[in-house]
Amino acid sequence: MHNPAAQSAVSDALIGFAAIPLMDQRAQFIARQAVREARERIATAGDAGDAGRELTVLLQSQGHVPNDTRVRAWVLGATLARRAPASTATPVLAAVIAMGDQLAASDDEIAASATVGIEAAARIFAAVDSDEFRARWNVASAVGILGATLALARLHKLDQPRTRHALGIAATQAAGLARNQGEALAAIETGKAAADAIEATLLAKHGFTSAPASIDGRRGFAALMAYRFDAASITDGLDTRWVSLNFD
Amino acid sequence: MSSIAAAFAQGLHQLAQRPLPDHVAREARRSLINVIGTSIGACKHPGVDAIVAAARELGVAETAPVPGRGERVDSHFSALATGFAGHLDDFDDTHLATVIHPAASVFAVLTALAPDTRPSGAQALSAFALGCEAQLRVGVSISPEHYDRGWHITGTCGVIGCAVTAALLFGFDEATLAQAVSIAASMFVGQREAFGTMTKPYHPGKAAANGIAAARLAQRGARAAADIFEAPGGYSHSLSTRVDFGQMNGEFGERWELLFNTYKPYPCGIVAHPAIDGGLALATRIDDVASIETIILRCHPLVPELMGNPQPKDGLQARFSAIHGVAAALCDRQVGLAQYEDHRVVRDDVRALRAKTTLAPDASVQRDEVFIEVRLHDGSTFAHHVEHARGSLARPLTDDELMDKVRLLMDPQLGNDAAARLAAIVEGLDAAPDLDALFSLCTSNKELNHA
Repeated sequence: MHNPAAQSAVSDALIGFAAIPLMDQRAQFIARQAVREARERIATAGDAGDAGRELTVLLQSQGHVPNDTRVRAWVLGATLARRAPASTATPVLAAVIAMGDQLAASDDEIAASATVGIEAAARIFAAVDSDEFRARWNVASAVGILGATLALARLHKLDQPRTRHALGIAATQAAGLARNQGEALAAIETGKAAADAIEATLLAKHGFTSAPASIDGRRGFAALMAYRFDAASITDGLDTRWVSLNFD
Repeated sequence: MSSIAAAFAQGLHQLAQRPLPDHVAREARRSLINVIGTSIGACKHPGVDAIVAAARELGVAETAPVPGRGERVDSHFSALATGFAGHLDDFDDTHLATVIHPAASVFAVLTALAPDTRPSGAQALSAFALGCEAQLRVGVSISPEHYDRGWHITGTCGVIGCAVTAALLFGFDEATLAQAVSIAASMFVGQREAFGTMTKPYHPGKAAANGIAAARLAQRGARAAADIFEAPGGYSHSLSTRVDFGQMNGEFGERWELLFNTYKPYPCGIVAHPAIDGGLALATRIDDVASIETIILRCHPLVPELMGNPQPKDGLQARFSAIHGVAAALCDRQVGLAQYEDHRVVRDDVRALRAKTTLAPDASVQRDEVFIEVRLHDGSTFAHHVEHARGSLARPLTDDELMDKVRLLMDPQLGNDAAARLAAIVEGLDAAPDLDALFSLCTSNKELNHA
């Protein structure tokens, strides 16, 4: 029988990082700009009578009420992914905007949450990236869900145990297939990662439990989906060196 | 050449056009009764509370039931809660070759979509059976490598079966059914790292919610890559290195994986079941458990290895103790969820019996077999040989035994004749115009809740 690991340095580092006081002005500035651009792209998506409106109608079939934040995050994520190349940051931005609006969070809080989520996702991707990984999975959805969940944990001010559970609920449903790249469905997969992050965060907030070592455990995210795993890419210099500043 | 998804949809859609063969319908009814029992038995678990609380925080519509409870949530959260409760405690059905627990997720789809789709009893049973069959076929096509690597196959394959059930409830044509399963392929869920936490039973719940989501997307024209199962970077080869599509698409209508479904009589690991059978067999012959001096169980070596905890301190530990199962069987003459409650596990009577019990591993004893011998203080002995445990393929649960199990799960939640009423409703499902009677029975009676 598999006895899951009780602890994980990788989880500890990510969970601590999600809650740190943000001192780096450049990181915050870039995140604020990313959130603003995302909001602009979302705002113009429905205007042109283009695929944006169609996508909204398509995904609103997933909920019965118009302002379901989970479904809205899905719409926003799919819209962003449809209008520009998706990255692991895409589900993070969609999730923090949807949840930030529901909570009436300040722009600074939303930007700070996006900052940690985008950085966490970029580092997790660096730890697992390989040709084999990219050949199998939708990178934006499979990794983005983890960053989005950490960002939402910050936005909701979850304590450390709950953040750990939220990360586990997210990791276990990291999904999306490389074969759908080039299909309209790829954007829907990416948006779904934002919706699933909202669900994971709320379940953990209300007491749901999950694996302590969801990223690096023997039967966890990296073991099942990655073909290499470099924990140091996640943990080294976290909070002092920002790898996501090199990304779009 | 048609794609794997297209051939899969064709086989399933054709089966859906005619009544289920009698023996398949019978097994589907047994599977349905079993999972309704487990989902209601676990309906008050804190994990279900968390799912309902998350739904409330999102302000979702109140359209679909949660079995055993009074609240209503939207179809997404109804699916999450029902699939979660159905699989909690691993007390649901098991397809032994794949270790898929197929019914919890598929019943969750039925629960979540019944208010919207209003199927007749026969349509519902067919959608339930074919959703089970579909996921089991996907499962055998990537077994055993997929599960061995660490994927929780109940969720990863369940999502495909759930898309099938949802598609059939929506009344899709064959092409739309193919799209629903293809879209569901990229919504796989479940890593075994989460075993031992609430996230394990979350997997069939999320498989159900995702299967519904995929069907709704297909209904509105969303499309996945046509070769999503067989292509590089698609479902099957990304999730397993060994794939046999003949297992997925061959012999539709002749080979029914659903017929290999088994039902657990006791809410603990299957390895302990022969010993518990032995305890129950002797329980009626021993009037006073205080008269017992020693209990010896000659058993398969896996019993001490996996189920060897001699003195569990709570219900969770007791699930890994064959010795507790036997002690509870001798004391209570039944082994259900109540025998794994924390307070039951630490009482003096079972503690004393556990201290008198010895496991004697013997490689010549089969996994579903046990020899039990009880010696009393007055020197008399009672012995029993369990050749095949209840609930094994060689010795399936009888309908009466299944009802005994379901009664212990349902009646404490819904009142004293709930299981009997369920049995009557499921027996008459073929002629039922809708599922109203079924779900009104499953929905909690408020007065009883406060009792």
